[in-house]
Amino acid sequence: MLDRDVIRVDIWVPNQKRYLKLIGNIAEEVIHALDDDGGDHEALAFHLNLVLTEALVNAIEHAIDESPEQLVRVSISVEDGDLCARVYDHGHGFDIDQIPYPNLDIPEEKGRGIFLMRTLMDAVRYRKSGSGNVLEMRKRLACGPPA
Amino acid sequence: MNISIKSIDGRKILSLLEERLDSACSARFRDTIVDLLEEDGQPLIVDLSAVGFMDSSGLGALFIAKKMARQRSASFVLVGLQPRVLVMLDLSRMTDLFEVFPSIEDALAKI
Repeated sequence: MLDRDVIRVDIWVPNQKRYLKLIGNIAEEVIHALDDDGGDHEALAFHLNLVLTEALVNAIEHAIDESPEQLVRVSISVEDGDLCARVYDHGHGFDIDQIPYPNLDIPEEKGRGIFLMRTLMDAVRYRKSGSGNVLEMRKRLACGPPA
Repeated sequence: MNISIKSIDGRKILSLLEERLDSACSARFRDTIVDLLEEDGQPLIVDLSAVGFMDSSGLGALFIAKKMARQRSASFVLVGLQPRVLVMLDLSRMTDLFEVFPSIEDALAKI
């Protein structure tokens, strides 16, 4: 079995969109810190930045308590060749299976966040977690050991 | 949000001087463009050469601006798109929606 990186990062940021850049930058640094596995880390860093930005905006916009002092938790882990990013929220929650695939032939201003997550990651789940919810996005890294 | 707006021979040039066009600034960016289009309907060149990252809200802002420009029969073009911005347009199949030029000079020569 390959000797793979194990990275776990947990971040809490205030419930404010000005922290999107910070989270995006941390996400990219995590990917750049990985061993060279033959994959396109530049593209993966961009994709993780993007899906975490989209997920964090969802968490901020749908929080029940919108006070900017509230904290939003983001976690990023890489283990056994598996990248997992989670964004925790304290909103009312939603059924991700009911989010329709957008009609890309009829452009709209909104409605692409979940679509981008599903397009760029291997698996996207949204479920109850403790007193809130968690959006979990997973991607298998190149050359990782079998799941 | 850092923006520069200037006018050259009846054409307005809006340069967004931010690394990211994301949900932290996209609404203000959209409103600024809409205000410019409502002012006089002059051709508008949007310079995104400083923008290395755009999320879906940034894309939405560009879409609304383009839609409004079309309603007013005003020219609306983008210049200086970095690779990640181009990828976002491609992922959302919006590449063909916008007229894109490599630089402000190229756009000025055409509109």
